[in-house]
Amino acid sequence: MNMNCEKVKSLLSAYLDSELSSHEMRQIRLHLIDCETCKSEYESLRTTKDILGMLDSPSLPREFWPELRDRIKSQPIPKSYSNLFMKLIIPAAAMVILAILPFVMATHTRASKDFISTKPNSIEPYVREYIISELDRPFSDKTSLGFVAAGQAVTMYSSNLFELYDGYSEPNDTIPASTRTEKQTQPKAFQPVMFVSPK
Amino acid sequence: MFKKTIAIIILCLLIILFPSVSYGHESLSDPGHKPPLENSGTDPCNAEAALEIIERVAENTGNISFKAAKTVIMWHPPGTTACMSNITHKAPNLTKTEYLPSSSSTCGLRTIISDGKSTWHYEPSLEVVFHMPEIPSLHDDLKDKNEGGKPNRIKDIALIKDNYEVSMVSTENLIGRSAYIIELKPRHFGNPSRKIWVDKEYPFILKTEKYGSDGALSSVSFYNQIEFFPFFDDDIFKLDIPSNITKVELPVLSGLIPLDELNRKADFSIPMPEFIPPGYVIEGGILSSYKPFPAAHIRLTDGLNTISYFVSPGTGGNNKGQDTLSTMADMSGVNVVRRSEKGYDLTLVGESDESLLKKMAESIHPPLIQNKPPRHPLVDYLSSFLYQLFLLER
Amino acid sequence: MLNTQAIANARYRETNIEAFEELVRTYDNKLYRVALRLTGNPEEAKDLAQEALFRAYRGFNKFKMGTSFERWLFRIASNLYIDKLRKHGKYRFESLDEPIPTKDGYVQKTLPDLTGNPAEIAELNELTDKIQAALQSLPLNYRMAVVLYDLEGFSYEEISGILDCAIGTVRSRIHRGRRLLRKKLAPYVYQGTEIGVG
Repeated sequence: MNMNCEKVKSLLSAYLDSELSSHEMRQIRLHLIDCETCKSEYESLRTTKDILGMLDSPSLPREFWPELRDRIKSQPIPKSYSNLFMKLIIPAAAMVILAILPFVMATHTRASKDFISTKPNSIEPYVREYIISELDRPFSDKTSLGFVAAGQAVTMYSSNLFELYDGYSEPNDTIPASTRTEKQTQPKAFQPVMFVSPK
Repeated sequence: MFKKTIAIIILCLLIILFPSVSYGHESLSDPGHKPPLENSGTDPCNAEAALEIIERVAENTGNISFKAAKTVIMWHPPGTTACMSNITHKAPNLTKTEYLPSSSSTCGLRTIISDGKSTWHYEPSLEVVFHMPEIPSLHDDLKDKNEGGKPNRIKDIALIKDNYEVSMVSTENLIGRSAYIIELKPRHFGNPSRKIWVDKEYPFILKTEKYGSDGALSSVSFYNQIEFFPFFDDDIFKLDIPSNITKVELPVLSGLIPLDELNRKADFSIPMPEFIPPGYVIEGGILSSYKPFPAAHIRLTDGLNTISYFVSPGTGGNNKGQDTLSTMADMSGVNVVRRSEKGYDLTLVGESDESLLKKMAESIHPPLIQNKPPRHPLVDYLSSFLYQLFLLER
Repeated sequence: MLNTQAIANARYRETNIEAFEELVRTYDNKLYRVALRLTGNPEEAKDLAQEALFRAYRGFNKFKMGTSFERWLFRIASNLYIDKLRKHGKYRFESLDEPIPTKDGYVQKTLPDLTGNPAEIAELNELTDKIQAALQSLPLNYRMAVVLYDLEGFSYEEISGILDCAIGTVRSRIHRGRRLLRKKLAPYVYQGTEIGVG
């Protein structure tokens, strides 16, 4: 089966990086010979990648290691994990753990999940929820609220904050133009937006 | 530099074109100054008339179709934000808003389309469309559950009557239409006030000026032109975007539920503030869909302004004894007060004066251990020792 | 490539500072470069890289032998950065087209307008700054994928390990990231030959 332009375009970066199956690589290579549009799309992506390569490679600041060494020395690992310690204490501790595990779980499950905490400390999600609840009030100014909420969505998306919500899933597909045109021919049932979520 | 100049020129033009804006902003330094009155503000008939007008506005929210150009300017501590937009609204709930870019951007227009069930937000700078199912109308959803079955919009008016001095200060012609100017001044300290221009023919707000609790103008939004009940094709409510745009499904916010139901649904006990700013009532709550930690969102209103109170039991053991209180202003003009207390995270958001929010935050006393069986001190000690030993020091 | 046998050596297990330093010397420059491209700020980058190494040292006994140490280290760094942004992400308008308020009024982000006249742009002659600014404007997840692939040469598979997501996700993040960069660097991309790119 031949790939259409939309499909090819969505794979061009991976093609550029040779991160596709050999079959896909071949199909795209053939497509690019015939299709000027996709070829120029490919060229522009390649140039973009090349431009990124023009960034210089700064080296480590001189004080990097001396500072880090000082820090490591001033905050040593509190317990020495010597072999003896491990051999004697671990089994004993394991037994204690088994005995009181339920209690520990009850107190610390939440915190222990996060080696590096993902607890949201930014205020955007709160302000956004406030703004959205405001939208429904009779005297609210929907234009300015919409503007602020939109700005918040941009910030939150840009710093991965939406990922902290239940039910959020990483978008994996782009919306192909073909889906949109198909939708347009549907009967008059009102469609405010011309595309449906890609399955 | 060039863009800065353009932005300033646009602002100046706006101010010249719409003298009422500059007038409003001047009153910033002179909160006591009032425009000349046609009627006396204390006249009870005047108050009745003003209330009747805003009641009609509330009842007809969304019922008037229009096509318009609108400007919003917001003043806040770090500076000024302005945006211009084209809006098309088809009653009762189809709206398309296109925000005009402030510079010669090559991108398309930030566009928001809402059909009452879903909101689609096309963000050209990110090549993303955000889709969010709309919250089942917060107010309508709750009305049946409320005693008496009164829609909240009517309740809002009753609250406004109690908490605000509503008066018709004047009439004015703007953008070729004749409007009543109605002022809503808070009876209680610390709440923002508002001035609205209501069209004489249709119960529709043509312009809004908001004043912070200190009397300074905080935002103004007005139509540059408007056409009521125009003819338009449904096609304009279709999002016209380039292909290959990423679609992002945003998390759904659940609807407002009564407090007792919220308490049942949350898996922690929700500490309530002992102090609630005068005039405010609790409307209900929302269970937040934040993943790492559960959070409850409680809404309070005085009819016109609202306060959101978010509470999350947080990490428990992590910040023992480190209770903090911090406040910050957000670019949208809202105040945010955050407090960390006994491992709980408390966040208050609202346009009321910071001191009110602070006082409210300080009156919340979360329980030390929530919904947990009582523990022996030895168990406590051992668990924290083991926790330190095996979980933290990795 | 790291000698995993060397890690298995007991002296590394004890994570004494010299041994640790010797071990991570292979990665410190790379780590710092990634940090710099993510944060766009040398000071922040230094802090981030130091903190990541510090945590790697402290948590060394958590490292699973036989797995990629490099991936583990970069994963610590990327999680740290995400965490940091979330904590301090107060109104960082990362979109180029987002207006930002200043005391003089409402202005656009001070990123140079790359859509202007190419001759003017050539004059600016601060290519690195502009590329960095364009990178900075990308959503975090796209930025991370692009930096790790295009600047540091990790494979899609390695990136999926570092960012803890599926390879398909890595693929789409890189693709979207590049498309946005292309738009933001349009004069360079399309006038490439004039400034010696392409």
